[in-house]
Formats: sequence, C-alpha cells, structure tokens
Amino acid sequence: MRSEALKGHLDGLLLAVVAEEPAHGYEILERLRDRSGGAFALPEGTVYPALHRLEGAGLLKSSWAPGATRRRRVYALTSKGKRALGQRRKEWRSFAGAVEAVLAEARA
Amino acid sequence: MIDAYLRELAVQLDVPARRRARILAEVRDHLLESAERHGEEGAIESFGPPAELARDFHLQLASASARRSSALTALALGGSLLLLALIGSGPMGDHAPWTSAGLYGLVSFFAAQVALVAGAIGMARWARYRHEPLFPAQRLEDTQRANAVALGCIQAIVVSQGVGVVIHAGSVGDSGWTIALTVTTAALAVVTLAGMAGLVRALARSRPVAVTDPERDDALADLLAATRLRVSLPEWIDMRAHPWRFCLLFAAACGIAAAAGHALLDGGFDAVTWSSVARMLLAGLAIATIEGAAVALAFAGLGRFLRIRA
Repeated sequence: MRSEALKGHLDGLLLAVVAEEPAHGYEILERLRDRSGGAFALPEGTVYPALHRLEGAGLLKSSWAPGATRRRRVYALTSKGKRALGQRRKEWRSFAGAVEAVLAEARA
Repeated sequence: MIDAYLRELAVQLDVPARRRARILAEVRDHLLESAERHGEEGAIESFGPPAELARDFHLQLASASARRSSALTALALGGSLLLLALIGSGPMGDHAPWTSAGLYGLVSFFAAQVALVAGAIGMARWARYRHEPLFPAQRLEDTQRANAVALGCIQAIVVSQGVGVVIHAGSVGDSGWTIALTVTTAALAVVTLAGMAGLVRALARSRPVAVTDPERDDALADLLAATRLRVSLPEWIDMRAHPWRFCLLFAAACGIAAAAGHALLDGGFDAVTWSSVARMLLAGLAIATIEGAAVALAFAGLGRFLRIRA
C-alpha cells in the first residue's frame, strides 16, 4: 500500500496495535506488518513522531522498561486512547461501508 | 554505521535537549534490534533518512506549539472583551476610558477591532485543521502572524486601559469595582504575556520546519472555509477576486455599525428631535467615515502580512 495513503490512517493503526498489549516501537512495527500480511510497509522511522504525538495527545503513555540486553521505551494505551480507538473503528466501518457500496454499484 | 546515523540525526534534530536524548535512545534501540535481523545497512535503509525523521519531529513540535499559541491568543481575546465590558458596565459608564475621546480610549477602540479580526483569522485556521494530526507546514507562519497581531493589540488595550483606570479610578468612589477592574487588568496582562511567550516558542519551533510540500490552498482559503459554512459571498465581492471591493464594503458596513452604536449610546430614537436630526446625521457621517477609513487603512497595512490579500 502506498505510504501516502497509509499516513492518513497511521494513528488508528498504531492505537489498535498497542491496544493488544503494550510494546516498544520495533515490536509495534512488527505487529503492524504481521497483522496486515506485509501490506503496510513504510519507512520505520515515521512511526516514532506519530507515537510521540499520540502520547502528547494523551492517547498513549510510555515508560522505560528493562529488556534482555538494553532498556526500551514501551507504549501503552490510555483510557482516552481506548475511547479514541473505538471512535476511529466506528468511523472506519462507516467509511469502508460507504466506499464498498459505491464500488459494488460501479461494478454492477 | 548506526553510530554515524545517530550522530547525523543528532545534528539534524533541532528540539529540546531532553526530547533529543529520548529520540536518540529510542532510535538506537530500534536500529540495534533491526540490525540483529537485517544487518546494520538493512536496518538503516528500512528506517529512512535522518533528515526526514528530523523534519517529522520538527513539524510535530511546531504544530503543538502553534495550537497552544492559538489557544492562549483566544483566551487573551476573550479576556480583553470581558475587560472592556467590565469597564463599560461599571460606575464610570459613559466616562469609561474606552468610550472617551482620549488617546487611551481611541487606542483601545481600534486595537480591539484589529485584535478581533486577527484573532478570528487565527481561530479560523485552528478550526480548519483541528481534526488533522499535524498543522500544515505552509500555514504555521500565517497562524503565528495572526496571533502576533492579536496579542500585540490586546497588550495595547491592557496598557491603555490600565493607564485610564489609574487616572480615573480615584474619581469613581466604588472601591469594589476598582479592585475587580485592577485584578482583571492584571490577569489579562499575565495571560497576554504568557501568550506572547508561547508565540515566541512557537516561532522557534517552526523555524526548522522546511516547507517542501506544494501549497495545499492559499491562506485565504482557510478563512473562506470557515465562513463558507454559513455565508456564500457573491462573485462580485469575492475576497480573492476583488479584495479592495470587499474591503470597502466591509469598511462601510463597520462605519455604519459604529455610527449606529454611537447613536444608541446617545439615547437612540427617543433622543431624536427635528432640531437634532442634522447634528446627528453629521456626527454619524463623521464617525462612519473615521471608522471606515481606519478599517481600510488596517486592511492596507496588515492585509498582506496576515495573508488575506495578495
């Protein structure tokens, strides 16, 4: 998928991935890649400004956690983030449904 | 290779030291983890150029600062209107500094109007982009200009009203109202100074943001997007096609409103007699002309700075 198209949905995707279980940046990207079957491929660095922004908006919280070889910055969803994720899921279902209806009509 | 990448990123990142340290630590952790699977070269290639990452962070910080600056400006604007209303409703009444013809009254009268327009421009931009994750880079400077003009005018109101209160408060005799006015003026001064500090910070944050994307819309589109929701202007007074025509009509409308407001303050239609009609019409014409000329001058002087005319 083109990275420009993905950027508009990146926030929602990151929230959904973190909602599963708290994770650090590399793990978040791995989950995003795995769950999308490799469809979502964007420069890995772009995820960090988005994570910082979501944290600044109060949708994520983060802290340093000890890892096997080095400490990592782990991100977790806040309650405000859970509500925002629910809202984005609703908006996406509505949008996807409308697009599907138009495309289906066009095919018919 | 990873160390060289991190050194390059550290040079590119123009952010507070604590934030830089955290970003570098996270990036280092990510690259080391990725290098275990794909090698250092593969890890760096997948991560992306340091200049792009730095740009994303700069835009993110600049957006957050611009939004905070707009919020403080809106607060200061509301406070200034409250201050003027408090003065107008107080024991001074018609002799309140801002209704007098003294210098501080005139300063407040015109500064309040410019602050209102500049503040509205800033808020229209905030409203247009409030649901987007980032403020468009092209609009950062426009927003900060509007906030700077609004805050400058509000500070002029604070100073002029403060001088007026100091000069006239002794003749009022209502110590409770004087105390309320003093506290409100001082609070507004603090908010305005905080707003200016926020604006300086926002300007510093937007300095490293390079505008590389093509222009999305011109600056006027933000304002028209906010008003188009309710008002559809006919083509013959379209701001983009005929800015001066729009300005003159707007100036005339402001002049008529100012004259009508003054007439109402003087007692409205109850005070009209045949002998006073000519005098009132002349006074109204004078007020309308002064107000209209001031609006046109402000448009000429600030229109290009605020990016509402070419």
